[in-house]
Amino acid sequence: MSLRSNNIRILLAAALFTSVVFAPPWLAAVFAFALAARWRAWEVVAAGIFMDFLWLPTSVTFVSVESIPFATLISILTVVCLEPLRRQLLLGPGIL
Amino acid sequence: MKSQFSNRARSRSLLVQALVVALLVSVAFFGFDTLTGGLVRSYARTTASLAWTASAGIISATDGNGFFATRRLLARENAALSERLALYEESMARFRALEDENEALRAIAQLAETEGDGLAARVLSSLGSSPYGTFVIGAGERDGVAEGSLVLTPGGFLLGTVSDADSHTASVRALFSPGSLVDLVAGNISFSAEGRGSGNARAEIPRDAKVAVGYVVSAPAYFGRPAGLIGTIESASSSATQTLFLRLPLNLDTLRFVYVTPIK
Repeated sequence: MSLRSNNIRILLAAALFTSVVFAPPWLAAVFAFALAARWRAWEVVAAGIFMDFLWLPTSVTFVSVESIPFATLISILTVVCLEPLRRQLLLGPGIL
Repeated sequence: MKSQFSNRARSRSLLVQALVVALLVSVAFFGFDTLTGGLVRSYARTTASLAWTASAGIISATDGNGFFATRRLLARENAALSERLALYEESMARFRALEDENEALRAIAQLAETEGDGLAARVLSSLGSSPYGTFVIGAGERDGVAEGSLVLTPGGFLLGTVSDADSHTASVRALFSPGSLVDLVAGNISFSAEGRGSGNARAEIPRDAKVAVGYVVSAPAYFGRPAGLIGTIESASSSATQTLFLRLPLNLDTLRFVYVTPIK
Protein backbone atom coordinates (compact mmCIF):
# COMPACT_ATOMS: atom_id res chain seq x y z
CA MET A 1 0.00 0.00 0.00
CA SER A 2 1.52 3.32 -1.02
CA LEU A 3 2.37 5.99 1.51
CA ARG A 4 -0.09 8.42 -0.08
CA SER A 5 -2.92 5.91 0.06
CA ASN A 6 -2.04 5.18 3.66
CA ASN A 7 -2.12 8.89 4.53
CA ILE A 8 -5.54 9.32 2.90
CA ARG A 9 -6.84 6.36 4.87
CA ILE A 10 -5.51 7.82 8.13
CA LEU A 11 -7.04 11.22 7.34
CA LEU A 12 -10.40 9.68 6.48
CA ALA A 13 -10.35 7.59 9.64
CA ALA A 14 -9.53 10.68 11.73
CA ALA A 15 -12.37 12.56 10.04
CA LEU A 16 -14.69 9.62 10.70
CA PHE A 17 -13.93 9.49 14.43
CA THR A 18 -14.15 13.28 14.73
CA SER A 19 -17.52 13.32 12.99
CA VAL A 20 -18.82 10.58 15.31
CA VAL A 21 -18.27 12.97 18.22
CA PHE A 22 -19.07 16.35 16.68
CA ALA A 23 -20.98 16.06 13.41
CA PRO A 24 -24.38 14.80 12.26
CA PRO A 25 -24.59 11.03 11.65
CA TRP A 26 -24.85 11.37 7.87
CA LEU A 27 -21.36 12.89 7.72
CA ALA A 28 -19.91 9.97 9.66
CA ALA A 29 -21.74 7.67 7.23
CA VAL A 30 -20.11 9.44 4.26
CA PHE A 31 -16.62 8.98 5.69
CA ALA A 32 -17.37 5.36 6.62
CA PHE A 33 -18.60 4.63 3.10
CA ALA A 34 -15.57 6.34 1.56
CA LEU A 35 -13.23 4.25 3.68
CA ALA A 36 -15.07 0.97 3.16
CA ALA A 37 -15.38 1.51 -0.59
CA ARG A 38 -11.62 1.65 -1.03
CA TRP A 39 -10.19 -0.45 1.78
CA ARG A 40 -11.25 -3.35 3.94
CA ALA A 41 -11.45 -0.73 6.69
CA TRP A 42 -12.00 -2.33 10.07
CA GLU A 43 -11.61 1.10 11.64
CA VAL A 44 -15.16 1.70 10.36
CA VAL A 45 -16.35 -1.07 12.69
CA ALA A 46 -14.35 0.48 15.54
CA ALA A 47 -16.03 3.82 14.83
CA GLY A 48 -19.43 2.11 14.85
CA ILE A 49 -18.71 0.54 18.24
CA PHE A 50 -17.51 3.92 19.54
CA MET A 51 -20.66 5.60 18.21
CA ASP A 52 -22.83 3.12 20.06
CA PHE A 53 -20.91 3.51 23.31
CA LEU A 54 -21.20 7.27 23.02
CA TRP A 55 -24.80 7.70 21.86
CA LEU A 56 -26.82 4.56 22.56
CA PRO A 57 -29.30 5.41 25.34
CA THR A 58 -28.97 2.10 27.20
CA SER A 59 -26.71 -0.92 27.54
CA VAL A 60 -26.70 -3.37 24.66
CA THR A 61 -29.15 -6.13 25.57
CA PHE A 62 -31.20 -6.68 22.38
CA VAL A 63 -34.37 -6.84 24.51
CA SER A 64 -35.72 -3.59 23.08
CA VAL A 65 -35.19 -1.65 19.88
CA GLU A 66 -33.35 1.11 21.70
CA SER A 67 -30.77 -1.35 23.04
CA ILE A 68 -29.72 -2.65 19.61
CA PRO A 69 -26.32 -1.30 18.50
CA PHE A 70 -27.37 -0.30 15.00
CA ALA A 71 -24.21 1.69 14.29
CA THR A 72 -22.01 -1.35 14.97
CA LEU A 73 -24.19 -3.68 12.92
CA ILE A 74 -24.42 -1.25 10.00
CA SER A 75 -20.68 -0.61 10.07
CA ILE A 76 -19.94 -4.36 9.93
CA LEU A 77 -22.41 -4.77 7.08
CA THR A 78 -20.87 -1.82 5.25
CA VAL A 79 -17.37 -3.29 5.41
CA VAL A 80 -18.54 -6.76 4.36
CA CYS A 81 -21.12 -5.78 1.74
CA LEU A 82 -18.75 -3.46 -0.09
CA GLU A 83 -16.32 -6.34 -0.62
CA PRO A 84 -17.64 -7.18 -4.12
CA LEU A 85 -17.31 -3.51 -5.11
CA ARG A 86 -13.77 -3.37 -3.80
CA ARG A 87 -13.02 -6.60 -5.64
CA GLN A 88 -14.25 -5.12 -8.91
CA LEU A 89 -12.33 -1.89 -8.48
CA LEU A 90 -9.14 -3.21 -6.98
CA LEU A 91 -7.12 -6.33 -7.64
CA GLY A 92 -4.36 -7.89 -5.66
CA PRO A 93 -3.30 -7.13 -2.11
CA GLY A 94 -4.68 -3.58 -2.30
CA ILE A 95 -8.02 -4.69 -0.94
CA LEU A 96 -6.52 -6.20 2.20
CA MET B 1 -5.88 -17.68 -13.87
CA LYS B 2 -5.47 -20.35 -11.21
CA SER B 3 -3.37 -17.99 -9.14
CA GLN B 4 -6.01 -15.24 -9.39
CA PHE B 5 -8.71 -17.71 -8.30
CA SER B 6 -6.64 -18.85 -5.31
CA ASN B 7 -5.96 -15.20 -4.38
CA ARG B 8 -9.69 -14.46 -4.38
CA ALA B 9 -10.46 -17.57 -2.33
CA ARG B 10 -7.77 -16.61 0.15
CA SER B 11 -9.09 -13.05 0.29
CA ARG B 12 -12.67 -14.29 0.88
CA SER B 13 -11.50 -16.64 3.61
CA LEU B 14 -9.62 -13.76 5.27
CA LEU B 15 -12.77 -11.61 5.08
CA VAL B 16 -14.85 -14.28 6.80
CA GLN B 17 -12.21 -14.72 9.49
CA ALA B 18 -11.99 -10.98 10.03
CA LEU B 19 -15.79 -10.72 10.15
CA VAL B 20 -15.93 -13.36 12.87
CA VAL B 21 -13.20 -11.54 14.79
CA ALA B 22 -15.08 -8.22 14.43
CA LEU B 23 -18.29 -9.77 15.71
CA LEU B 24 -16.48 -11.42 18.64
CA VAL B 25 -14.72 -8.17 19.53
CA SER B 26 -18.05 -6.26 19.36
CA VAL B 27 -19.78 -8.85 21.55
CA ALA B 28 -16.86 -8.79 24.01
CA PHE B 29 -16.95 -4.97 24.25
CA PHE B 30 -20.71 -4.71 24.65
CA GLY B 31 -20.82 -7.70 27.02
CA PHE B 32 -18.11 -6.24 29.22
CA ASP B 33 -19.94 -2.89 29.23
CA THR B 34 -23.25 -4.49 30.19
CA LEU B 35 -21.67 -6.64 32.91
CA THR B 36 -19.85 -3.66 34.42
CA GLY B 37 -22.96 -1.48 34.41
CA GLY B 38 -21.89 0.82 31.59
CA LEU B 39 -18.21 1.29 32.46
CA VAL B 40 -17.06 1.47 28.83
CA ARG B 41 -19.87 3.90 27.92
CA SER B 42 -18.92 6.02 30.89
CA TYR B 43 -15.29 6.20 29.71
CA ALA B 44 -16.39 6.95 26.14
CA ARG B 45 -18.62 9.81 27.32
CA THR B 46 -15.96 11.17 29.68
CA THR B 47 -13.37 11.19 26.91
CA ALA B 48 -15.78 12.82 24.46
CA SER B 49 -16.89 15.39 27.04
CA LEU B 50 -13.26 16.58 27.29
CA ALA B 51 -13.30 17.12 23.51
CA TRP B 52 -16.69 18.87 23.64
CA THR B 53 -15.57 21.17 26.46
CA ALA B 54 -12.34 22.02 24.65
CA SER B 55 -14.14 22.69 21.37
CA ALA B 56 -16.74 24.88 23.11
CA GLY B 57 -13.88 26.93 24.59
CA ILE B 58 -12.16 27.28 21.23
CA ILE B 59 -15.39 28.29 19.48
CA SER B 60 -16.21 30.80 22.20
CA ALA B 61 -12.71 32.31 22.03
CA THR B 62 -12.61 32.56 18.23
CA ASP B 63 -16.13 33.94 18.13
CA GLY B 64 -15.27 36.55 20.75
CA ASN B 65 -12.13 37.59 18.89
CA GLY B 66 -14.01 38.00 15.60
CA PHE B 67 -11.84 35.36 13.90
CA PHE B 68 -14.59 34.51 11.44
CA ALA B 69 -15.63 38.07 10.66
CA THR B 70 -15.57 39.21 7.04
CA ARG B 71 -12.28 40.21 5.45
CA ARG B 72 -13.48 43.77 4.90
CA LEU B 73 -14.44 44.13 8.52
CA LEU B 74 -11.18 42.66 9.65
CA ALA B 75 -9.19 44.99 7.38
CA ARG B 76 -11.02 48.00 8.79
CA GLU B 77 -10.48 46.75 12.31
CA ASN B 78 -6.79 46.10 11.72
CA ALA B 79 -6.30 49.65 10.47
CA ALA B 80 -8.17 51.25 13.33
CA LEU B 81 -7.42 49.19 16.37
CA SER B 82 -4.54 49.97 18.66
CA GLU B 83 -3.15 47.48 21.14
CA ARG B 84 -5.19 49.07 23.88
CA LEU B 85 -8.39 48.82 21.89
CA ALA B 86 -7.64 45.17 21.10
CA LEU B 87 -7.29 44.47 24.77
CA TYR B 88 -10.51 46.36 25.43
CA GLU B 89 -12.36 44.38 22.78
CA GLU B 90 -11.05 41.15 24.17
CA SER B 91 -12.41 42.16 27.55
CA MET B 92 -15.71 43.11 25.96
CA ALA B 93 -15.92 39.77 24.15
CA ARG B 94 -15.32 38.00 27.42
CA PHE B 95 -17.94 40.18 29.05
CA ARG B 96 -20.44 39.39 26.28
CA ALA B 97 -19.78 35.68 26.60
CA LEU B 98 -20.34 35.92 30.35
CA GLU B 99 -23.45 38.01 29.78
CA ASP B 100 -24.87 35.36 27.41
CA GLU B 101 -24.09 32.65 29.90
CA ASN B 102 -25.62 34.75 32.68
CA GLU B 103 -28.79 35.23 30.67
CA ALA B 104 -29.08 31.49 30.04
CA LEU B 105 -28.50 30.77 33.71
CA ARG B 106 -31.03 33.43 34.75
CA ALA B 107 -33.69 31.66 32.71
CA ILE B 108 -32.73 28.42 34.40
CA ALA B 109 -32.84 30.12 37.84
CA GLN B 110 -36.39 31.33 37.15
CA LEU B 111 -37.33 27.78 36.28
CA ALA B 112 -35.64 26.51 39.45
CA GLU B 113 -37.84 28.82 41.55
CA THR B 114 -40.96 27.17 40.21
CA GLU B 115 -39.63 23.62 39.96
CA GLY B 116 -38.02 23.35 43.39
CA ASP B 117 -35.30 20.73 43.71
CA GLY B 118 -33.32 20.19 40.57
CA LEU B 119 -30.20 21.54 38.98
CA ALA B 120 -28.97 23.36 35.91
CA ALA B 121 -26.65 21.36 33.71
CA ARG B 122 -24.56 22.37 30.75
CA VAL B 123 -25.29 20.66 27.43
CA LEU B 124 -21.95 19.12 26.45
CA SER B 125 -22.64 17.53 23.11
CA SER B 126 -24.44 18.72 20.04
CA LEU B 127 -28.10 17.75 19.92
CA GLY B 128 -27.81 16.73 16.30
CA SER B 129 -24.80 14.40 16.45
CA SER B 130 -26.48 11.32 17.81
CA PRO B 131 -28.23 8.88 15.48
CA TYR B 132 -30.35 7.77 18.45
CA GLY B 133 -31.67 11.19 19.50
CA THR B 134 -29.52 11.36 22.61
CA PHE B 135 -27.23 14.06 23.97
CA VAL B 136 -24.86 14.41 26.89
CA ILE B 137 -25.13 16.83 29.80
CA GLY B 138 -22.44 17.81 32.27
CA ALA B 139 -24.09 16.53 35.44
CA GLY B 140 -24.17 13.00 36.76
CA GLU B 141 -24.90 10.80 39.73
CA ARG B 142 -22.70 12.91 42.02
CA ASP B 143 -25.00 15.85 41.33
CA GLY B 144 -28.13 13.83 42.03
CA VAL B 145 -28.97 13.02 38.42
CA ALA B 146 -30.41 9.53 38.03
CA GLU B 147 -31.92 7.42 35.29
CA GLY B 148 -35.42 8.70 34.58
CA SER B 149 -34.78 12.29 35.72
CA LEU B 150 -36.66 14.79 33.60
CA VAL B 151 -34.70 17.26 31.47
CA LEU B 152 -36.39 20.59 30.79
CA THR B 153 -35.61 23.56 28.57
CA PRO B 154 -35.10 26.96 30.28
CA GLY B 155 -38.73 27.68 29.38
CA GLY B 156 -39.94 24.57 31.24
CA PHE B 157 -40.71 22.41 28.19
CA LEU B 158 -39.91 18.73 28.51
CA LEU B 159 -36.82 17.97 26.43
CA GLY B 160 -36.25 14.35 27.42
CA THR B 161 -35.33 11.96 30.18
CA VAL B 162 -32.00 10.78 31.51
CA SER B 163 -31.37 7.35 30.02
CA ASP B 164 -28.04 6.67 31.65
CA ALA B 165 -25.97 8.51 34.24
CA ASP B 166 -22.40 8.11 35.39
CA SER B 167 -20.51 10.13 37.98
CA HIS B 168 -20.07 13.42 36.09
CA THR B 169 -22.07 13.15 32.88
CA ALA B 170 -25.43 11.76 31.83
CA SER B 171 -26.96 10.67 28.57
CA VAL B 172 -30.36 12.17 27.82
CA ARG B 173 -32.86 10.62 25.44
CA ALA B 174 -34.84 13.35 23.72
CA LEU B 175 -38.62 13.02 23.97
CA PHE B 176 -38.91 13.56 20.23
CA SER B 177 -36.01 11.28 19.28
CA PRO B 178 -36.36 9.73 15.81
CA GLY B 179 -38.90 6.92 15.75
CA SER B 180 -40.06 7.28 19.36
CA LEU B 181 -43.78 7.27 20.13
CA VAL B 182 -45.05 9.73 22.73
CA ASP B 183 -48.56 10.08 24.12
CA LEU B 184 -49.59 13.73 24.11
CA VAL B 185 -52.61 15.88 24.80
CA ALA B 186 -53.63 19.05 22.97
CA GLY B 187 -56.85 20.83 23.87
CA ASN B 188 -59.46 18.13 24.40
CA ILE B 189 -57.80 15.39 22.39
CA SER B 190 -55.10 12.89 23.20
CA PHE B 191 -52.98 11.32 20.52
CA SER B 192 -49.73 9.53 19.85
CA ALA B 193 -46.92 11.45 18.17
CA GLU B 194 -43.89 10.07 16.37
CA GLY B 195 -40.57 11.77 17.07
CA ARG B 196 -38.63 13.08 14.07
CA GLY B 197 -35.50 14.31 15.87
CA SER B 198 -34.21 17.86 16.53
CA GLY B 199 -37.21 18.66 18.74
CA ASN B 200 -39.80 17.84 16.07
CA ALA B 201 -42.63 15.32 16.01
CA ARG B 202 -45.56 14.39 13.81
CA ALA B 203 -49.02 13.14 14.70
CA GLU B 204 -52.30 12.33 13.03
CA ILE B 205 -55.55 13.26 14.74
CA PRO B 206 -59.20 13.22 13.66
CA ARG B 207 -60.13 15.97 11.28
CA ASP B 208 -62.82 17.40 13.56
CA ALA B 209 -60.48 17.84 16.55
CA LYS B 210 -60.35 21.45 17.71
CA VAL B 211 -56.67 22.40 17.63
CA ALA B 212 -54.84 25.38 16.24
CA VAL B 213 -51.31 26.42 15.40
CA GLY B 214 -49.51 27.55 18.55
CA TYR B 215 -51.40 25.23 20.92
CA VAL B 216 -49.20 23.76 23.62
CA VAL B 217 -49.14 19.96 23.72
CA SER B 218 -48.47 18.25 27.04
CA ALA B 219 -47.24 14.80 28.00
CA PRO B 220 -49.54 13.06 30.52
CA ALA B 221 -46.89 10.39 31.24
CA TYR B 222 -44.63 13.15 32.52
CA PHE B 223 -47.12 14.83 34.87
CA GLY B 224 -48.70 16.87 32.12
CA ARG B 225 -45.60 18.90 31.42
CA PRO B 226 -45.58 20.90 28.20
CA ALA B 227 -43.73 19.02 25.49
CA GLY B 228 -44.00 21.31 22.48
CA LEU B 229 -46.12 23.50 20.28
CA ILE B 230 -48.24 22.79 17.25
CA GLY B 231 -46.16 24.32 14.48
CA THR B 232 -48.19 23.42 11.40
CA ILE B 233 -51.44 21.64 10.64
CA GLU B 234 -51.98 19.92 7.32
CA SER B 235 -55.26 18.44 6.19
CA ALA B 236 -56.71 17.34 2.91
CA SER B 237 -60.44 17.60 2.23
CA SER B 238 -60.49 13.93 1.20
CA SER B 239 -58.88 12.71 4.42
CA ALA B 240 -60.54 11.89 7.73
CA THR B 241 -57.45 12.94 9.63
CA GLN B 242 -55.25 15.98 9.91
CA THR B 243 -51.50 15.93 10.44
CA LEU B 244 -49.91 17.93 13.22
CA PHE B 245 -46.29 18.96 13.05
CA LEU B 246 -45.01 19.63 16.53
CA ARG B 247 -41.88 21.48 17.55
CA LEU B 248 -40.10 22.78 20.59
CA PRO B 249 -40.33 26.56 20.95
CA LEU B 250 -36.57 27.11 20.92
CA ASN B 251 -33.57 26.55 18.72
CA LEU B 252 -31.89 23.41 20.02
CA ASP B 253 -28.61 24.29 18.34
CA THR B 254 -28.18 27.26 20.66
CA LEU B 255 -29.30 25.48 23.83
CA ARG B 256 -26.49 25.69 26.37
CA PHE B 257 -28.13 24.81 29.67
CA VAL B 258 -30.95 22.51 30.67
CA TYR B 259 -32.75 21.99 33.95
CA VAL B 260 -32.73 18.48 35.38
CA THR B 261 -35.40 17.56 37.88
CA PRO B 262 -36.07 14.23 39.57
CA ILE B 263 -39.28 12.38 38.80
CA LYS B 264 -41.93 13.46 41.28
